[in-house]
Amino acid sequence: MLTLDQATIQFGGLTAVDHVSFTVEKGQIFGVIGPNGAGKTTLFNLVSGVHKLTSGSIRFLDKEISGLEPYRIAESGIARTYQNINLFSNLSVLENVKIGRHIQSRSGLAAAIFRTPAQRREEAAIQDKCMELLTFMGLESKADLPAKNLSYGEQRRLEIARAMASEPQLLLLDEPAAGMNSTEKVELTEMIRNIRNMGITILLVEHDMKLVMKVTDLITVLNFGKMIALDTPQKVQNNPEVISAYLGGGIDA
Amino acid sequence: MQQTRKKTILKAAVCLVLLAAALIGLRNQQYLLTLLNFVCMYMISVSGLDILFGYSGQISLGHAAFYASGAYTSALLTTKLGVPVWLAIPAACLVSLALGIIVALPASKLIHHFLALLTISVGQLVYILISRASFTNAMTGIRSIPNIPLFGYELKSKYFFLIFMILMVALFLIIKQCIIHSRVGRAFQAIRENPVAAGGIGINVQKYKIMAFAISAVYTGFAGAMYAHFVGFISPETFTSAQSVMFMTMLLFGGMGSFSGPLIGAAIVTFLNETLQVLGSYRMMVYGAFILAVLLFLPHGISGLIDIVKQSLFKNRGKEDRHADA
Amino acid sequence: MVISLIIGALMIGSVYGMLALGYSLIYSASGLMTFTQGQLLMIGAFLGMQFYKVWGLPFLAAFLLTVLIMFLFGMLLEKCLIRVLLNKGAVSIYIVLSTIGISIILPNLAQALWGSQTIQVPSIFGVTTVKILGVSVQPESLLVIAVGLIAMVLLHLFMTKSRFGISMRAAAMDPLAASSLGINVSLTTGLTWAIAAALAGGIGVLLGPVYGVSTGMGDIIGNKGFAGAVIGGYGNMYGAIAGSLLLGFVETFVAGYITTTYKDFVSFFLLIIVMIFLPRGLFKAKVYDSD
Repeated sequence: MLTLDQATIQFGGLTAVDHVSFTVEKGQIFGVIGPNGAGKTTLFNLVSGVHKLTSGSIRFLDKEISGLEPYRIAESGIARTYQNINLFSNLSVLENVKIGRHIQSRSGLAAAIFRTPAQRREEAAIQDKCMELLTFMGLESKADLPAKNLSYGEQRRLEIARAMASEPQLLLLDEPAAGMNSTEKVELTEMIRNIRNMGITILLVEHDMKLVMKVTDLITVLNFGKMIALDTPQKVQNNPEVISAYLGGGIDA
Repeated sequence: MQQTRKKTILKAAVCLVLLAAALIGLRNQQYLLTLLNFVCMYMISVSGLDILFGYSGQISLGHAAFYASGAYTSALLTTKLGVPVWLAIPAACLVSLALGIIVALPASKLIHHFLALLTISVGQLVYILISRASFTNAMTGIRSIPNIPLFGYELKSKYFFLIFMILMVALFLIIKQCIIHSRVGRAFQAIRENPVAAGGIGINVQKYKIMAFAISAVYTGFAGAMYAHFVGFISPETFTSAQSVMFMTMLLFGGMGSFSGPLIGAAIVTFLNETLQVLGSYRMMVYGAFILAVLLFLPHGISGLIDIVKQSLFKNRGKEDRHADA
Repeated sequence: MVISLIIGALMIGSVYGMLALGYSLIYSASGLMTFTQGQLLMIGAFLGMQFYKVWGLPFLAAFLLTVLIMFLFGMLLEKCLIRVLLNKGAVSIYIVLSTIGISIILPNLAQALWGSQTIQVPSIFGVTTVKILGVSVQPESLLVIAVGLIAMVLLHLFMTKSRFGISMRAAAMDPLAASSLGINVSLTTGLTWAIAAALAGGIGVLLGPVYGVSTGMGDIIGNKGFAGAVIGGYGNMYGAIAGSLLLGFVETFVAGYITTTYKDFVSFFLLIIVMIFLPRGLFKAKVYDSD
């Protein structure tokens, strides 16, 4: 589904992601781990189009997506969340999710001005779909609050809801558990599984080792931008190179 | 839901009755009628600026350029080419639209400080053009611009012009609300709140920024055309950067990103402006002071203040769409 | 003709350059933008006129006194307005708007104090023209160029050699790291606003004898200075000067050979063209939304 081939990006003299290659298959929960500064978020930014590759390629559903504008990549079926939450913070929770429906709806300016029947039907459908998603993420009671008034954990869930609203085929989750307490983490684990069961493929960057080991099918380990392992959770845990990388970089899991 | 709708209808009805009563009372108050006509034009123009700055987060300090493009297009077409007024006004909107898109093409890529500078420059360019070019009669301006004919009558009396303007304000406000509460309006607000996340969720940021600019230009261009036909005479002095600053003052003072903000701002600043006539050119100082006072003490303008008062009175959560950043 | 045009271009370019330096300093130290430089120039010109013409101080004393006052004024502006807004969590566009508010108030203040007429300032040197390569030149224009040059060199030395300048540049690159290293970020940004005001005010004093002093004198010049900074690459000190000189040459030569009516049109047009096709200026600056 998603294939990285020798993906490389350099900032100035620093190679943040260095010849990384892997393939995520449909229906997988694919984990990316590594010590701080290993290039995990940069990798996400490459896939979602925030940064452009220096060399190599990224293919999604057999189409080259590197070099496309972020909105084009979103249109092709990739949605993401952000490590340092990027919500529309002054808008309501519901509006945040409604904005997520953007690529799944059509009505343009003229339809809005004349309030055509099609536009009104679409708006009603958006409303229903978004409330359904908020219920799925356990945020239905907060629908009318400004997003900035939510707790940290709720904001992370809202980001997932917004991404889900665009009905992606591939969902990129960038440290979804950061700042969550242990109950929330358990719920999150369940949610990630549920999302996968809906047929959505997941690429997950996460610091919480317990969570990663529990939910992922396959894990790749980055260290200083280089891929040092690609294996199942059990095997990765016992990989000596991975262990030494974490010891060298300081264990934060 | 049903109840809020009933409430809105009730509110609208009360407003309408009050408005009608006020109109009847004002029949012969020529001076006030003139002012109210201006208030209506500013309401439309500032609502346009609100779509741009309040909702899509793009600043413009050169909106006088669009005011001018609307006024001059309509004036030139009617006086020099004899085009009927009802064709000249849409043409004025189209020219403003085109100018809006031309400005927005580079503007949509810039961060706001540079956007401020670009729009100031565009305002200056248009001013220099209309004040020097011979086809706009340079500083002499354009005289005898025809009034707006309606059902065979000309809206010569300020009274009927005002009624017409009130209908236009209502029309433009309804359109604004329709846009804001649609997919397009949500895209605008997403861009204002967080352009990176907006792009990440599939919004073509540049396209929607240009769209907001174009809509805003049409609003202000239309208001400019109304100005030309109402006064019957235009000259470059009306379209200086001071005019752009006044639009921005009205928006900030009334409160941006809201339904009532531009209306309140346009009304209060226009009337203050008149009462301050005695100060002569010191009036500008009051604008400056307004801007500073709003930035320091009233980040959501007067309409934000009203909301706060309402909230503390009724102690229920306000659901008004208010998002302006402080 | 060419020589007098060149001198004219150098002079007006230096004026723009002094303002542009202020814009760039503030931007590079704090990422903020100001629109008051032109009005600060105007205030400086009035103060200089007051000290030199009305009070009869020697020109040098009037100049230094004005620069000092403007320096303090810039500091005050930062402390009492910009810092207050920043502490309230205002977004950067609100800072821009607040400086526009100030730039509206200042001319009115000047009008209240000195009236709305253009005031002529007597020549500094007692001679009205000097001959250079066979052309008559107002000696004050040469003074503007000289002072501009000196200010640039001093500022360059200050930024690269002094402890304060180095910490200022550090604060610009990473405020958090700088403050953890014990650099007083608030003080250094305050200092940039002060230096910017002093530069604008100082050049204003020198312009008095050349053009006369009026409340509107800073409006267009301020925007041109900004244009110079943008053309050179916003936030880059050396770019600001280069861009301003370029703008000075273009507009002087356009006025000299093509059109005086549309002289300002050409400069703003040049600015817009640069923003469209070379948005980072001649020297790179961050201008895009998505950076």
